[in-house]
Amino acid sequence: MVEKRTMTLNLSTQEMDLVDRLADEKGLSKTALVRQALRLYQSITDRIDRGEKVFFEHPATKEKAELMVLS
Amino acid sequence: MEMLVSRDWLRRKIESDPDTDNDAGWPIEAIENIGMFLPSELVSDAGNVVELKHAFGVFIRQLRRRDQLSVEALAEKARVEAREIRLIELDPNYKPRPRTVHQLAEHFAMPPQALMKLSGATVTRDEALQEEAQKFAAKSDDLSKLSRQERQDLEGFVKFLVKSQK
Amino acid sequence: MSGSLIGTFDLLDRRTGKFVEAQLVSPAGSSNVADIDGSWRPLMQARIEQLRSEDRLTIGALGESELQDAHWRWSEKIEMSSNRLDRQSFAIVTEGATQGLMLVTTAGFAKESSQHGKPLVMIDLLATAPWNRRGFDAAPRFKGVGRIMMAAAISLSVQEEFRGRVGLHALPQAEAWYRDRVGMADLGIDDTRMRYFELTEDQARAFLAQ
Repeated sequence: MVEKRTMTLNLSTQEMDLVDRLADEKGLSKTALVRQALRLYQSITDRIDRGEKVFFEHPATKEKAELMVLS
Repeated sequence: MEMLVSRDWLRRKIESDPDTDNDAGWPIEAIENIGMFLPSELVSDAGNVVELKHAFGVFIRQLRRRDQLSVEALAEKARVEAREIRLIELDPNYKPRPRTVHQLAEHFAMPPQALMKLSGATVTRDEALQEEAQKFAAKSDDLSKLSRQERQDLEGFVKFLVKSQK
Repeated sequence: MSGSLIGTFDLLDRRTGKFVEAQLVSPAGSSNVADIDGSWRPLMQARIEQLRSEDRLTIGALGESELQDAHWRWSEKIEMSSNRLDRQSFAIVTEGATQGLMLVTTAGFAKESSQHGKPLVMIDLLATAPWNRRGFDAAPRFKGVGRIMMAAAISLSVQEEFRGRVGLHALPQAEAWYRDRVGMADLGIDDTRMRYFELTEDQARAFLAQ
């Protein structure tokens, strides 16, 4: 079993509303939602750190939009 | 993680399951990228490789002429053998070494993967590449100096190759 | 580093018709990498050499012999999994040898219409040892790696609150298994040029209740 630790997050109402909405949409608890967000953030950061570009592609037009990460 | 099925359940299922393979994942798609690891004979297995290689020869020749380089000058700049460049340009059945393709890609600032495919050094099923390469090779005549149209065709093909690797 | 034991299960030894105890571990560790580099790869390489000496080395023959993954840099993939929150790896070990390997991503999004955009466990790779592959070995050894791994993927999906949703690209010889026995939705060939399958919540429940 992986050791678990607890932290308190101070979020704005808007942020908290988003957590609620996404958790509801994705069928996840808030903890699981934050876990997913961390996984995605790490995976994108990892790719950018390796010099890769991260794109979103429109399925019909094949138009690509680069995911911009400000540094 | 806790398994949601019991050891007994798994035994029963494994016993009654049809005896097939269950492998899943990327392997098939990855074939395209394994030219470096695959034996060279395999390259001839992909149907259009000779046409692609022909296009590769024409392409290298056009790039060289665009830059007004002799075979020897290109060989020196790209740090490859002049003999190999001649073979690439003249013999569609010649299979260049992966290192040579990489050196040329680097020299011409082209995506190495695209040139690897084009040269037949990696196996590809990329139909768009095959089509564009054939169109390019068919349009490109062997004139001593590039005509304006030839230059446009060459640039168009360069753009396609660069874009195809994004 | 070696993984922790998820549980002890059994693989069916096709030669004797008897079950043999097998350990499911996660994550896959250095001993699994050593097995794959030391045992799987030389066998695959030897088969490639054999095909070459018989002048039968074609992409088709590679597929028939199930050598599509012969080029894989397994150790890199496993190593990468260990540093990433969105990757997990599983190995099945019997008689001190790695019999199967599964690499999954836990940050994927479902595509099937009833669950589009919801998180799922994506099986990036499910591979059995060459001596367990029917295409590779005329008398393949152990049966059951796929069933145990599928059960593990679904269990992980439930634990992650993904309610059993699982996705994967099947090799052609495995398509019928995923569609008919596992009961996954067949979403057709996608841009990987492989057939994509997805297990929905209901299908996962049905699989576990089989």
